Amino acid sequence: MNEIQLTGICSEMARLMIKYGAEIYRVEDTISRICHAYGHSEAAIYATPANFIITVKDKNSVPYTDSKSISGRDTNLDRVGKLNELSRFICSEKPEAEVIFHRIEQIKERKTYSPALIYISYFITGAAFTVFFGGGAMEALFGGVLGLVINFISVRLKLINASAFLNAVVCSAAISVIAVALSHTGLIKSFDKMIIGASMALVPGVALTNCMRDFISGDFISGIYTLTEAVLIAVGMAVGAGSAVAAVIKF
Amino acid sequence: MDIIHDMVIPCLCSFIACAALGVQFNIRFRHLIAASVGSLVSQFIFILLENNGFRDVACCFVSAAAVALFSEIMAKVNKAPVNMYLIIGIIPLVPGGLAYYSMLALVMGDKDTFLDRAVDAFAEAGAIAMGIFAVSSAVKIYKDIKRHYRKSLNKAYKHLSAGDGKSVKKF
Repeated sequence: MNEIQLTGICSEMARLMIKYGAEIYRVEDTISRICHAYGHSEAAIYATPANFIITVKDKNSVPYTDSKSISGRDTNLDRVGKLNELSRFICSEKPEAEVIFHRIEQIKERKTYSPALIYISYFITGAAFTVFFGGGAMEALFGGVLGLVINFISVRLKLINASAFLNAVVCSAAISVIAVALSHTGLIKSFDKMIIGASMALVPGVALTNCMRDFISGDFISGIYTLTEAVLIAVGMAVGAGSAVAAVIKF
Repeated sequence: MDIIHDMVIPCLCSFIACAALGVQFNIRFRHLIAASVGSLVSQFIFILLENNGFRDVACCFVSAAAVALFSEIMAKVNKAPVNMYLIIGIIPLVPGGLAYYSMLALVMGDKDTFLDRAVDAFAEAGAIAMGIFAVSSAVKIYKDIKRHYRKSLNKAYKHLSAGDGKSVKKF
């Protein structure tokens, strides 16, 4: 394998891992292991949640570099696991470049759960968390419906490349308005439990976990980047729900 | 303590909810069950400690640490990223109720309640983070020490084999 192929493979794998929600520490570790396996133990790797740069040198000290900018998150932990397996395979077998590209393409086309199943999962999440926070049967049912609303809006917002902050604001505002409206019809006693339960699906769990793990491994730039993302999403949820509830109660 | 109301229903709910959340993150079935069991573990420990008179912050810390340990073990067993189990496992610990009520108090202009609830919510979120931090750092230190000793052992063997001209099997 020559240096151009190596940098190409490394940058593509890193882009996919960051996009699918791996922590930056893992990305840097994986790429440095791959470079090490092909005899480039002094590869310079720079990864943040927004971009990736790699430089390796050949025998005559000629540098080869490749960089990628990463935009848009698409959390898919199954593919992160498969990319992890692929990196183990590369390090132990040292295959040719074509084999690796083929495997990467296979991973990119791995099946995801169907949209209908995602809707069902949002319904179950909303309903189960409503009961978890102390809601009754009727509230659980409408909590599940609010979960469906969240998924409906997020899918639409993803089409226009909305930011995670906007997504959190719009989703939590919409479910708050619907929940308060439902409580006015008299079907349910209180709307708090439903809003809390349904909005658990919006909690930035991936960002929070990744930022902690990046801080531990000493990658502070990525840690701060992801922490900001997590805090912004949490603030967005508060802004959306707060403004909607306040507006509805005032009138 | 009412076993069914205090223990079984929250545990069962967090198990089901976390399995559904895992579907949203595209986790496959085998890992999905393991990750949901992680959330069950965290919720079980949380309720057990809470009923024995520990404060919420301490409960959050211990159960987050337990989840982190569980995730590290499952990741080692299944050869999968730790994240897959950790993200799902800590979700039921997130202080959603406190955050919501503090926000509600803020928009209603009730500053005392807001400060009270917000401090609690931040403390619990911090406790979760610190629980993960503690266990993950311990695991990292363990791995670093292991790597260090393996490296120095290999060096020693190389030295020996250079002496008598025979190749010695590497670690």
